[in-house]
Amino acid sequence: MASVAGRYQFKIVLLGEGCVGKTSLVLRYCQDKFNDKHLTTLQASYLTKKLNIDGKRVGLSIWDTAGQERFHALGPIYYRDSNGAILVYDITDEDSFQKVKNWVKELRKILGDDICLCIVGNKIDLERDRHVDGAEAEAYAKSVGAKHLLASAKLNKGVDELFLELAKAMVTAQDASASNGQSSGRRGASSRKRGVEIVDEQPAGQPKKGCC
Amino acid sequence: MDLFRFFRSMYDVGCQFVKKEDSVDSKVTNQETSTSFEKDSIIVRFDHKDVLILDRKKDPSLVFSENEVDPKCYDVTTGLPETVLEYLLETRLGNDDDSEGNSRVDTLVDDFLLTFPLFMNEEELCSILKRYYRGTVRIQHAFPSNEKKSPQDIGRKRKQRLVRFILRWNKLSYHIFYENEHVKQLLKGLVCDLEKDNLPDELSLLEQVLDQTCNHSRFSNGYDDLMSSALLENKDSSDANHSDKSRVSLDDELMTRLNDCYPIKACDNVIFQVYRSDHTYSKFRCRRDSTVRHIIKQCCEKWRIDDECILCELKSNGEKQVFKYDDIGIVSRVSVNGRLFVIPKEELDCLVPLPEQDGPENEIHSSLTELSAKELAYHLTIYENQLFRSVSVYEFLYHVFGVRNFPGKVTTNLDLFLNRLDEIQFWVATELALASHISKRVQLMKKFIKIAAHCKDFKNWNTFFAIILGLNNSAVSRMNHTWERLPTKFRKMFDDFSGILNPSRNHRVYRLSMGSLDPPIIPFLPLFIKDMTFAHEGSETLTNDQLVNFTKMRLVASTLRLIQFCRSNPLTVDPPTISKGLREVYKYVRQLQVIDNQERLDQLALDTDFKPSSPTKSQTL
Repeated sequence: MASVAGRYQFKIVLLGEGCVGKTSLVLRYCQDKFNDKHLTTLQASYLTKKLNIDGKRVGLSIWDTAGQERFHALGPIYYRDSNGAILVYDITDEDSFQKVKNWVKELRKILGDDICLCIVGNKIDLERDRHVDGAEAEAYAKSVGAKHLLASAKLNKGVDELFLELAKAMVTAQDASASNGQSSGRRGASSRKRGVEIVDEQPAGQPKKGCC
Repeated sequence: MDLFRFFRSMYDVGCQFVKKEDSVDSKVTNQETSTSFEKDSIIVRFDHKDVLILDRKKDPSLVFSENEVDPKCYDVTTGLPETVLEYLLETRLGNDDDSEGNSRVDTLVDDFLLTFPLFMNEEELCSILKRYYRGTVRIQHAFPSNEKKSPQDIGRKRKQRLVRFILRWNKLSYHIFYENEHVKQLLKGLVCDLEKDNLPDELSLLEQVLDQTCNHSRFSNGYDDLMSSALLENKDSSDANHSDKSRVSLDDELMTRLNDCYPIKACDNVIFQVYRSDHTYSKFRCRRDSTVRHIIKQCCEKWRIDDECILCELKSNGEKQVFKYDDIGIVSRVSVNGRLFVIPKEELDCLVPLPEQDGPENEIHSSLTELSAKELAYHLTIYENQLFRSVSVYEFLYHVFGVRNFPGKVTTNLDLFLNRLDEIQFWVATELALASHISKRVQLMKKFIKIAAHCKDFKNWNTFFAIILGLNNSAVSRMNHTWERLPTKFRKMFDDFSGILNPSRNHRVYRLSMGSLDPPIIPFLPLFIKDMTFAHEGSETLTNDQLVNFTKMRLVASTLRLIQFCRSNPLTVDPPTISKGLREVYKYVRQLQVIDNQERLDQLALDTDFKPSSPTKSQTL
């Protein structure tokens, strides 16, 4: 996961309720053949993308939970060790925004500030049916330290931007943690569980983490 | 099918189809039908409109000859639903092919049968089949045969091909044969026709199917009543007299029925409880496919309420989900400890969960400690197997493509199977969170890891995943003191098992370990659902000319074929030595008492793992 000689490798997880368009966003971003004249078939549900941000080479591996939303228990195995999360809601569906809030709560609780969050209001092509207040969403995102962006997978609007924004944020976070001399490999529940020695290192810190 | 190869191919990003330009090389033309043959594709047109496009297979072992076009060298890419069906009936069901051996190279017929609900309903399919039996097949003109045959002979062959098609369908999805009236009518009609046409072999084959169909319908209701009462008992254990009758019959039939499964149909009845905001409730009996509107109407009549009411599910953590009036089949979609409420709209905000929704409060003195890990794994697998085999392939389609798009369809069996994953996951977390003493928790952890290991041996991946997910539940993963005390051997087993859950590279570890197994397998279904969701969202079902994108259908079908492959052999697991009454174990695994409120689990785990173990902690530090 660490950056080797100016190369960055990040893991991004997509979370959100079913039918908000997570898969369409990621397919649009990685394939850009969404709803095109040519029919495409796609077999791999694990996608990667390479970026160049200000001369820094960034590799993204994007993990989609497509169709598995009702299995909340699967969430942790997907978001474990993620550097970034894209939390998608449908601007015409208030419940889906509530689900995003739940995910933010859970991610912050388990992964703390180690993860960069990007909240995305999808389906802006259906602006006239909007049910989620834009200003409210913006304010909420700000309050939890997340970026807030709008997109339409259908019209291919804002898709590249949201991945780029998140990638930039992750680069900044990694650079900051590297300069602070912290190990970027240690984070969250997985490392806490992985070894007894970590528990020994910070026994007092453990109970607190569960309550925030 | 070579599973291993299939899984490897999952890493390849798929192929792309580009429509061919019009060809001048038109070999066959009559008044309205024309066919262009090209090296890589065949395009059939009716009245100057494309109705069927075939692409040459990319299989080098198939010999291609310019002079004679062998349809088997081509795959259907797009086409009108009816034309695709006729084409398959004409070319893919020849009598000289061993249908089993043939299906291995060419799965087009299976692919069609597995995915047709996405572009036509049963009624349409049956009427095309009926018409095909009688004659009038337009596609014949597109591929005229050089062979000289009498019209009687051609007709006979056609009818035989149709019967072969029906038998194949019955093999792939026998569910639909006793569920759907159109299919039943088609069968009955064909049996009469075959008798008239003097085709005794085909007649007896179809009669067999018809017999099975009738038998199934009879049994299914009985089993469903058993299921309903067992489920109801689960929700309300105090209601003892209801299940007395079924318990006797349960015991008698249990041994013989351990491997049976009788899927729940849309027209079956279900008994369920509906609550009011004051926590009083009434029981109702409805068909599985009753609409929410119908259920609300029944409640309002019984309770004499005139206000406009809503039906919602209240989860144990207070979350509410209001159902739409036109939704159907919602009873099986309720979460583990969720309850259904019918209330006037304005009462929604003040709705609070019932105390019983919290689940057990204290340590459960359960069969868990008395039964061996193998015995528990065995019975969990038997139940999982029943649930898995009850799910019709079409329920996966309805689920992935949105059940609302399929009027009158329910996904009851799939819902129950998917709910089971949550239930087991929470069961593991609940048992551990409620065990007050650390040594008990260590024992339980070992037990669950052992159960998971046995499930893996039984190739029951779904329960295996559920247990390991339960041990990964945030409540359990924070039990640091318990994990510390877990012997290294078990720790290692758990780490290995968690490695199988690792979703890296599209669940590579799991796909590879599963790919090398022979059926019967109970697969981890959410992954199949994910694959189908991707296939679905990745491309359109219909082209701009309203042709079916059959390439997409084949991709969706490849997952469904895999599901069928997993259950292509009956479950044969030797029962372990029985340490307790069969009925008790049978009941225990079907009525797990769980806490499904994550916050409550987290809190309980925090309390138990820190308070009692503080002396231990100071010793070790």
